[in-house]
Amino acid sequence: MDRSKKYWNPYFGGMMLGLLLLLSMYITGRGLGASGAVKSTVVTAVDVVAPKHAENSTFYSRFLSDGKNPLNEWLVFEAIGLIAGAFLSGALAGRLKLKVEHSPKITTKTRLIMASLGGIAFGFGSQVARGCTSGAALSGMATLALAGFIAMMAIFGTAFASAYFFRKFWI
Amino acid sequence: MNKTYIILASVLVMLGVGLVFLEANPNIKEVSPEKLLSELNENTRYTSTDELAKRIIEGDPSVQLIDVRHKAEAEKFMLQGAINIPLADLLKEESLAIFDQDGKDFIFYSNNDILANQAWTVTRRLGLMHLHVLKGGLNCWAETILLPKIPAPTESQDAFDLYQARLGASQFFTGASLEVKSSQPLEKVNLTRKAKTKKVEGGC
Amino acid sequence: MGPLIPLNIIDPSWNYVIALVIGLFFGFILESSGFSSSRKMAGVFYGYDFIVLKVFFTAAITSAVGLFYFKYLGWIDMSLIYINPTFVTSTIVGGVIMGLGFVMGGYCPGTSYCSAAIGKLDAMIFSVGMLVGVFIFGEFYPLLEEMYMAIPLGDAMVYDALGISAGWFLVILIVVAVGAFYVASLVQEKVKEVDY
Repeated sequence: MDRSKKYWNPYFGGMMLGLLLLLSMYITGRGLGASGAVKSTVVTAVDVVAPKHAENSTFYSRFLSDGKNPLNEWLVFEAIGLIAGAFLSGALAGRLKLKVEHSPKITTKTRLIMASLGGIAFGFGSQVARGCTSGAALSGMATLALAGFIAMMAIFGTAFASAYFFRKFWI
Repeated sequence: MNKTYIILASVLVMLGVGLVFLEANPNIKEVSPEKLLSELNENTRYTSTDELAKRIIEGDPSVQLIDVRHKAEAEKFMLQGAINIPLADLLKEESLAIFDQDGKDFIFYSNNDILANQAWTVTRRLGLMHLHVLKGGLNCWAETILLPKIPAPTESQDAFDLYQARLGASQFFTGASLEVKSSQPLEKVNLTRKAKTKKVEGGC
Repeated sequence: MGPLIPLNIIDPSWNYVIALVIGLFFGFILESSGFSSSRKMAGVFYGYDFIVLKVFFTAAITSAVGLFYFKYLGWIDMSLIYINPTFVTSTIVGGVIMGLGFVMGGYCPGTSYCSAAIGKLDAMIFSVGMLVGVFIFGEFYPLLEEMYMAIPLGDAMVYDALGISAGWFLVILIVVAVGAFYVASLVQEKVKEVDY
């Protein structure tokens, strides 16, 4: 694969990620995460647009009760760094390009619809599971927490089981 | 199969096996005399009787009380949930194994806090962590929790609040129904990580 | 002795700066490993690209082995490390939904940020979709609360649940992972080339 020559060896990448995770735990006592930033954004948005509703809701009020801006969160800063780091890597490798990546067998429109459905599912699911692949599965597994392994098996088990039905979108 | 990958995989497996050995013989580093002295002077190891009462009533699962008096005394009376490790037996392997549990706070107590402090010093020197001493020991426990003294009318509201809390605790531990001024429940305690320095409440 | 911030060895006010820097490395590593391409990631389900398996497993094992070496050498106080609390029902339900989301969208939250950062429009749509998904959860929360809080097991550790020690669990995990990597390399050779 021509393109993969520019990407890191995945085992090397995995090791780097593992060391980063270890460093994060050693310095801050916590692992990585990603869905938390989405949650903080939504909580802030709801609070700005409809503060009364946010106050009355059992879900949103939990994150607003201490008077702190919900965007003032570790994961939000980490997410900002994530975007910047990825941008840097993409720029250095010449991968920066506005485009919709999709299988030649489907249209751009189809791909965008599937991406949005996937996003909605992931947004909802990550809240139910209290984390996503980075926060619950990866960081959970790194500490050998039972939750991490259950999350990983649920996510990837389901994905593998349903992959056949979605194959037309990918290959 | 790529040679490099085979080597890497073998290294990884060996690391895992190494972990199994390390797990069986953990290397606990001893605490230096200077560090020990500074900790002794800081008094951060003390838990007040009021604090302990609160935690027991709340059912805080992280509390592990260790009674360091002689077996005969411990047999007569021990605090709820305490285990008896006489000071003389503290350095035995079976005793030290108790400290292997994660997420526990080990609180030494004795009649005063002399024996408890000795126990703390000895175990702390070995590098063990999360060790505490009940300030004033069982004598203070009896004075503050079991038979709390009514504050003089001239004392502050805080003193009265403390008295109410102690009355509640006293009922819990002795089962006796003492006259209670008002049915004020004990404040809810949020189980959070303890701050490094705590002021010791009440006094003995 | 770690963790440094919870023990006040580093001033906690540095926490957000550190979060930013950690995020920076996280994003860089992810993008450089190919996690900015949904087609590369979906490859693990169809046998043409296994970066998800390789990176995920390697990262989990590297950090877990490292963490437990630190623990047994006394370099870190594990009781101050955040352990994800286990709520059996919600983790499974959420995981299933996320699994579907992964196959449909080809992204997960972190990788969608990565891909959006390099200009992938489908990743940006995915991120917007996530905002909607979280919002839906927030609105329906009262109905979901019971399921959300069901079967709490607290700080349950996977090796306790299996009745073995952490060390042995890691040895088994490493062996399983190495086996999976070997199988993956075989599958990748056999599978029809996909142009992506």
